[in-house]
Amino acid sequence: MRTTLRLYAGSLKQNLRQRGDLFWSLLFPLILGTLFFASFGSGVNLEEMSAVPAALVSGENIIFQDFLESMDGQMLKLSEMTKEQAKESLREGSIKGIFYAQKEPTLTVAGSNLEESILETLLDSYLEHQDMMIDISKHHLAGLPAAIAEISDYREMTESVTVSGRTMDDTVVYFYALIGMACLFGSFMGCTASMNMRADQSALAARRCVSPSNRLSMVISEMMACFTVQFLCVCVLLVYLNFVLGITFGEKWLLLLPVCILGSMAGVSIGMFIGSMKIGYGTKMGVLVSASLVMSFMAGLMFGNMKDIIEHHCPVLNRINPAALIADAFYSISVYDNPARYRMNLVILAGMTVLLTAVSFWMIRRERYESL
Amino acid sequence: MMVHIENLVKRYGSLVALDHFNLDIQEGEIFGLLGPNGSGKTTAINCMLALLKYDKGKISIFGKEMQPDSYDIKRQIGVVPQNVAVFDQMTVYENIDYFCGLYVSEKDKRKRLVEEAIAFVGLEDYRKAFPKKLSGGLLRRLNIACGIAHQPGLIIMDEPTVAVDPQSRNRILEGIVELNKKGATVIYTSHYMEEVEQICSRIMIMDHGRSIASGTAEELKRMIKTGETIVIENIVLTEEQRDGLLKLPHVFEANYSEDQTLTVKCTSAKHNLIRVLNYLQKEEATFGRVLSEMPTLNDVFLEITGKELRD
Repeated sequence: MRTTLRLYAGSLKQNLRQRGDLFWSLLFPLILGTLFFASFGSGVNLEEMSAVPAALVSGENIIFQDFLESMDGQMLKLSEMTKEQAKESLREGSIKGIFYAQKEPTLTVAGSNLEESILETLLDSYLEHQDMMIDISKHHLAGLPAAIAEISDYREMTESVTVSGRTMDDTVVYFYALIGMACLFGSFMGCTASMNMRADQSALAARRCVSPSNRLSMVISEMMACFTVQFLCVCVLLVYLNFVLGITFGEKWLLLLPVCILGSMAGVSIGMFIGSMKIGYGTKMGVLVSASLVMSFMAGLMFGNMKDIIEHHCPVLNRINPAALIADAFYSISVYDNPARYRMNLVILAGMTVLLTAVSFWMIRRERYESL
Repeated sequence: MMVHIENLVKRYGSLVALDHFNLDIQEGEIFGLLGPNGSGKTTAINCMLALLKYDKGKISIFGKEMQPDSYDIKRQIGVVPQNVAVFDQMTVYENIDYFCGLYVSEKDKRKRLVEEAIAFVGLEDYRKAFPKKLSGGLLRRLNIACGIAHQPGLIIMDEPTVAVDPQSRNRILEGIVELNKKGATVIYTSHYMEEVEQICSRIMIMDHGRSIASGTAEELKRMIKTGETIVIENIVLTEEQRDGLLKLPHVFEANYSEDQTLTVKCTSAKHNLIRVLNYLQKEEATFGRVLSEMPTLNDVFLEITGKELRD
């Protein structure tokens, strides 16, 4: 244990002074974040948000219809349609959802973006107050418009959205992907660490291999040192985005930390995995840079809707892309308010980390080499 | 026996790097492995340290078979690799402390050992310097300090003086002798015969992965025919006079070159030089500078392999 801690301290010191790797892990994401901010500004103003187009299929639930109509022109751009017309419009993409004003109101949406999320929030809000409004309509009919106005108040609605931790800023997806990319850039540090443990990769590694240090201690200490530095870098990025650029991550920002922890570990383990392969240094760096950028692109770094496009056409890619998992975990807590999805993303990231670290260890622990 | 290698065979595809290589090193020796580049010295060291796979043979150190997880053996070995292997991001002190820490866990003891190693290689003024700021010679000294700081019983030095200035080289060589006096057994590989001859108590000459001769420097020199080489410059000789030289006792070779230099090779015997000079005086030959050289390890290598050690 003492040896592991000493190795950890040494590696930590070394990683903190490794300027090349620190550029990618710390400076590059900060620069890119600043450029994003300069391009997008501080995000979309809630007051200026355009209404979400939706269809209303009339039914027996008059109170729900009144509720939706009171929102028309504010959060909703409501159109009354038949069931068939509504389905056709949804297919065409001219509306984002269909409300069915039946006894138990329902909503059909075709996607999982912010606009669909707003529609779901509206329905949830109505269902929450449904009993109260039925009661008012039976006993105090005159007070119904006021009650509807109360629960459908635009500001209150947006406020409740915020209270539940949701953000309505569309551009934030770029910053989520940026954090995903920053986590992945921990792979550079992981790669260097790995190469410093394989005797056939560097003289330094050979020297360490002939020492009496246990290989597992060495791998664990290296991994933890890289992770510590990478996690600190991601934390600096979060602080910078939040306090300097004013990018908000919702009320549940504490839940971002497990994502950053596992994201950093996944990034480092990817690097360790690539670093443990017997290929040239240049090739390793090439693989890491291109893989990080491609995964970040697929998570929406360069094109915000990319992740959704992949979700519709090949969702498995989003389940195995760590950058997409990180971005989605952020989205799950700050937009969708979907703890199950958040947890699933974390579980996949953790599994990925364990698997890659185990394979890396298996490759690094190679006992003797064919050539040095 | 501190190190015992028996019938070691290592192949890289069709190339045989070590060909039934045998080696025995006693405790307290400075053992020199001498050979040209590519002769198999470093390969032998790497096999010994359980870094390289080998095709056949046995290696034991301190009487135990050497395996990658032989931590008890590794704890007693110090390695100074051919290429400088230190962390660029750590200072001189931190580097030595890190590598010493791989062997010694007690903080106080380690601190003392690191200080001793720094003093030993003369890097007292560079404790806080980063390796990139050090000259080649100082860097080599740091490389040595990292390998010997834990004061191991067996020190393996693989060409530690390559690309080192004469001042640093002398310091390194003196240091190796000092380590040996303190009780360390040293395996020293080099292709510089002067160094090996200067410090090693026993030498093995290697070529093409094989041991071609071994013994003390004197024993090795006695193995060859040449006992003395006499070089005479600016001399004019006739063919008959040169043939006359070959008839002198103990003279077995006389070469006369176009630049009027005569090289006479004699077997080991007393008064070879006097005999040659008396002969030239009798023949009334005039000449310039006269040099008498004892055989070197290069002569040994040349005579056994037919090529220069530095080829």
